[in-house]
Amino acid sequence: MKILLINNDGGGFADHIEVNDGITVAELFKKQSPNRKPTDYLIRVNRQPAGSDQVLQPGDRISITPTKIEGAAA
Amino acid sequence: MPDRQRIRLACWLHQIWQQLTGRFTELEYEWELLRRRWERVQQTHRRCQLAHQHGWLLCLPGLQAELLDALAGLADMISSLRTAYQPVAPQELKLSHWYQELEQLHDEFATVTYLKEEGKLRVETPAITLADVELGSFAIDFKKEKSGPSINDFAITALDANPASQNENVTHPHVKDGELCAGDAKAPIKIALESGRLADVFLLIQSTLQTYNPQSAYVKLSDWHGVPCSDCARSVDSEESYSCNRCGNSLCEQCFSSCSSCSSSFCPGCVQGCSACKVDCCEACLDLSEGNGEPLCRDCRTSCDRCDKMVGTDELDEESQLCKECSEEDDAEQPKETQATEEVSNT
Repeated sequence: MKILLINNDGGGFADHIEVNDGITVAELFKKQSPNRKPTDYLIRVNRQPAGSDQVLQPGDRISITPTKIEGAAA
Repeated sequence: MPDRQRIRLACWLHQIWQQLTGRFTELEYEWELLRRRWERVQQTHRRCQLAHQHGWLLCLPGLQAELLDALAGLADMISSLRTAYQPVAPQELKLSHWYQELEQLHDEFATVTYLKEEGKLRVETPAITLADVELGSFAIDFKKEKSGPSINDFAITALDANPASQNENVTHPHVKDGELCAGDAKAPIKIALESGRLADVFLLIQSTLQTYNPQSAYVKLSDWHGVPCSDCARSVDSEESYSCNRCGNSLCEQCFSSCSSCSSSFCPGCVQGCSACKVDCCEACLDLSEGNGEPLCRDCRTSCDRCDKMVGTDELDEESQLCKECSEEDDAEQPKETQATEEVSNT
């Protein structure tokens, strides 16, 4: 099935991707960001907070936004 | 915010994005990061080569692991830049999109207000504490400027300001004069703006405000309240403080002393007065008189012409310029010489 994934980590791309039917939020996160901790991110499904075991539906909009990003001094 | 107001706001945002010029600022910070990561790869590779040439086999695995890490960092940066420069087809963002963005903003932030007279959309963060320094909460204001939208359309205002003691315009380690230096957030913010994901932009800015990067801060949090003067305890800007050359303590402008001979700065406890002229000098510039044992500066000490002993200038005999001992010896010799001269004259 196709979902819209918005990954605000790093480059910040948004794209439609194919995933397996019945995939959960936790499984998708682990697949996209294997070396990251979910607790360091705001994960939203259709703009709403989502549990890790929430099963994704076709056409869902998933955004992953880091809660820790290093700023700088210009 | 009532629905009607939200609808009006959605219309306002819709209008702004329709005027989007599509020009965004270059990613200078990211290019600088790329350059630094490439340098790290080159340095690590050179070290591996040196270790291999010299047969330093024990350190090779560690160096190779470091090289792999450096290459991974470089690859990440290249990937970020590739994504940032991907051409983005202009999207048709409907009014419903903006309404949903505003709904999400209200879900993510406790306070969302539209300052109509100023033409600003404001969200407020919770109170932020970094490295035990309470910075308070911040307002993130979006106000469309002439062109854009861009990161420059977002201003950061400290609501319970606790600015750095040495610069009141720095209210956060990465905020100066109301502008956030977004650092690693710059690329995803750019993409989010191009896509009209306003809620994501506000969230990314909040995440940056909630993270401390001590390697690149306008003022480090360790210096936030300044450096305490070791003498009067007053807080002073670390760049305006003086360091004692002997004990390393930090001092303010009022409390530091300088050696009159070498002009280096010292704390009051690390200088001593010359016993002759009373000026303060450091340990290295004072010497003890071999005559009376008192400390003397360079200007107040000299050597006896005969025995070369180091004594104060006021310890020398005025006429002979000899030290006390040599002078006394001379005085003792003089009666004998006088008697000898008389004896010779009489014979």
